[in-house]
Amino acid sequence: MNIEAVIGIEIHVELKTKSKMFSAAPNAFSKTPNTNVAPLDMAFPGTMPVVNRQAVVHGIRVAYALHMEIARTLNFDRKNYFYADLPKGFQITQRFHPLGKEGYVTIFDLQNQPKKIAIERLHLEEDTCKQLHFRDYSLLDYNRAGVPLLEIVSYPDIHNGVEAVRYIEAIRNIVVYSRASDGKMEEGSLRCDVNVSIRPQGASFFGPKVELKNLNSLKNIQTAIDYEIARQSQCLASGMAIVQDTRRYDEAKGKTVSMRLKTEAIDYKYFPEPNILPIVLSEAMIEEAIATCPELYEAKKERYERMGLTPSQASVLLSDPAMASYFEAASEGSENPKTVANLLIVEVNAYLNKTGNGANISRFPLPPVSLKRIAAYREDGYTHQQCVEILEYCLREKARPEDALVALGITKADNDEEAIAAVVETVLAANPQSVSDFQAGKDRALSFLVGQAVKAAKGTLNPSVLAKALRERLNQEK
Amino acid sequence: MKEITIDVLKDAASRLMFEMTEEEYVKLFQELSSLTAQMEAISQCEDLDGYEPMTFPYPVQTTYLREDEPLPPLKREEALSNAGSTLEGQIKLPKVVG
Repeated sequence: MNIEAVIGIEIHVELKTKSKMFSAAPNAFSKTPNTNVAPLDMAFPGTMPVVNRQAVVHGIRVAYALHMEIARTLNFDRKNYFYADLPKGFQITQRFHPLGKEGYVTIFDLQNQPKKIAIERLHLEEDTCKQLHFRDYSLLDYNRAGVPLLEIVSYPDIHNGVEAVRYIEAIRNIVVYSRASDGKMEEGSLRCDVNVSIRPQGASFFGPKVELKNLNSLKNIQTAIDYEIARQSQCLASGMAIVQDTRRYDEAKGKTVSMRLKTEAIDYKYFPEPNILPIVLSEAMIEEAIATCPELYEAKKERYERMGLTPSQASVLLSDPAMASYFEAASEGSENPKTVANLLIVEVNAYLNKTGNGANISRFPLPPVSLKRIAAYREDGYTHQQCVEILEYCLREKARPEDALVALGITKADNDEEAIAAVVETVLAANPQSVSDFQAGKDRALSFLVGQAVKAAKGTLNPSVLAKALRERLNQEK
Repeated sequence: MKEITIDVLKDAASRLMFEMTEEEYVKLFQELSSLTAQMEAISQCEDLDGYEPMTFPYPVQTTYLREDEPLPPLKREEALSNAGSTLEGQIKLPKVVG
């Protein structure tokens, strides 16, 4: 029997705002517990929730990017449960009227074919407080209580670990590039709960659903899903029942471990939040939120490709928003952004890797304008090797590229017609067989001769100028 | 709708983790019975299918959203002043995870 996995994902995204969802306490990272707290966050009597405009703007932008139907009235509801992380005894969320519903995001499936993953809902809510558990007691820090959250719930349209990872990446790209969130899984600003079940291929019913938690990296998500599909398939094959439970991923052991059985759904006794009146969202407000949304990942990628970058170069730059910003600053007004991209992807990344300790572009000492200048040298005819020397000098001596050029005594070698002619003659004289091959119509011989010429020039001559001279000279011989 | 009895109230109190005296249960039961009677009276009205349930007494809407400007938070001592027990600037609880 062919087995098909059915996967649905709930993503919680912490929104980047200055204040919290329903109170004006700062929404900022603090190492000191209980210092970003307003009376409302601790549920002091008499306090009232007031909705944060920016959180709504972020929600509208993400809903729009996910092709969702956007609610024209904001309604909030209470989710009631009694637990130490929730001082009010309920969480304010949007159960009955989510801000966004019925959308989709396009990903690439295992065969790299475009596939739409349908999204059921997107809603606003508040985060809980942070708990630290010790052997005999627990500690509560309310800094996180009330931080705005966006929850995005997919339909069970995902069928394997790779699709799950690509779906999460697509959502992360949207929230990060719309600047709604940092989207950092390892820091908890993007958290995923994954529901996995299996069924015979093509069946329309669902098997018992297992919920996976504690998935703090894309790698863990893929491994946990693959493990879970294999585990459930094995249960089925050996005639054992698959138990509906909540499991956590044990990274050290590389497997999922049961946390608790899901005997019956918890009744949260949802009801409309009486302390927040329905809020009408005007067309003008919704349109402005969408119109002022920063350029998103997909739009940037298309633009970079129109600028001449390959899809893989564009993806490398966009994998880090800070790298993309640096690229945009360094390539602004540049004749050939591809040169800037090459320098960034190859040389700058090599420098950052060498520096180690997770160094990223935000700590790169050279300003974008300097890299732009070095790229301009490259376009002006300096060789790649010369540009690398200039870059290394600038980093070593904290110098400007124009000073590096003088200090290193670098001159453009590729305009030296005599030098080019000399190399061409030497290469032709040394490779008579290739010359006759070329004349006999074997074009591959030219590539070989160009390679020999570049080698002979030892990086001081521009390869494209050299190739041109070689071709012209050979055509004269014909 | 589930019938409200003293036992239902006791079960609810137990789930919500608070205690009441027998007299209080009787009083609450009487108040709820009076409310239930009123609801039963309403349910006798006919042709209500076309009406949406109301959450607020008047059909009021607003457009107000708070600007995203942080205000100074509570001082930590103030934030923790109601806590029965604290440790290292945090509220200390009996163990909540087994």
